[in-house]
Amino acid sequence: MFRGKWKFLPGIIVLIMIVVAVYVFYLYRQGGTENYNPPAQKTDDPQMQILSDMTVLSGAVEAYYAKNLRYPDKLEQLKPEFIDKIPLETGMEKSFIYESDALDRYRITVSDPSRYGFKELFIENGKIIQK
Amino acid sequence: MGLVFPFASFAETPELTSKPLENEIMQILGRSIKCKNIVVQIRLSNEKPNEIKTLAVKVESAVLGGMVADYVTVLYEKPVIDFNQLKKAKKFKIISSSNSKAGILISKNAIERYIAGKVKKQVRISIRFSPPYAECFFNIPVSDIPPETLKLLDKYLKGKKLEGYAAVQMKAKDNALSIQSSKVIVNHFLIPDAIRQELQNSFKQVERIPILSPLRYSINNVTVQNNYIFLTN
Repeated sequence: MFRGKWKFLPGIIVLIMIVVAVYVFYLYRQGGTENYNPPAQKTDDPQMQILSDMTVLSGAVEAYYAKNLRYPDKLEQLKPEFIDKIPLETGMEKSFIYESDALDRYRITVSDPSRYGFKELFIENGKIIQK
Repeated sequence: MGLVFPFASFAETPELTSKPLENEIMQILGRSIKCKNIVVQIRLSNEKPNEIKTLAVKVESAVLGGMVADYVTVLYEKPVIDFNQLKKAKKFKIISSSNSKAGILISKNAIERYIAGKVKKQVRISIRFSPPYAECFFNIPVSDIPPETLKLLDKYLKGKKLEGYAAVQMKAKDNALSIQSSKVIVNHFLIPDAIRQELQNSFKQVERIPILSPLRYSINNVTVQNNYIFLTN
């Protein structure tokens, strides 16, 4: 039936059908309730990670202010309402340094900015300072 | 006119004591803002006793369009209040401030109530916050889905409903909130990226964030936190 240049056609059709079937099966497998979770968010870059963690912490401090009209005295007060877990400094397993006068100012900083390639690295009242 | 106001205000700035002024502003705002409670916090400058260092207004359970925001807080630094308007017309108006910070906290319950008010009874939608994503679990009868959406999802239809999950992220700019899906599952099928993108484009994905007059703010940032969506300027 299939001769000459058409002799591979049945094989190609079967192959395409297999690929489609595998893809559909993959989409079906990925659609179970056990996959009802958001895409993983991870970075291997410590600089990106530290900036992301500090931004998340600062956002939680600002949200605390929006609710309480004062900044928290310590980061632990953000749990569990605004943040699930207080992140630690990437690769240091140390807490971020947090200072606040409760009403006007807060600052989140790292113990050793040079570790992340900065001379200075902190967030003060929501503004990130990186030099 | 804008130039005249500040001078008029300075000239008529009364001897400032924070408590009576706080109460006065609270009462005036209470007349124009639909909410459960308003807190006004004024801190005077130590160096210049007649200058307000910060003025914070917190509105609890504030009605923002069809949604009730848990907290709307605006902090003004060195605000200049129009005391003419405040005393004579009983209107609160900030003429200028050196800086201002706005924060709106909206809980998952507030969003669920807002959605429930917009859709039919048979539609079931629940929300979970998993920073930086908001997750949405849905069960929607096919009859309540727009035809253009159904067209895109026809391969995934089984039975008379769309049941599934979506992980979304949000962006805000100039008081407009847009939603972008990162993962969608419908009737046990993970929706491929190309179709998800088409779905995204077919929806009206922008919600306006109402401004609580007379407070002024422009929301340009949104983050998902443990219990709230947090909108800031």
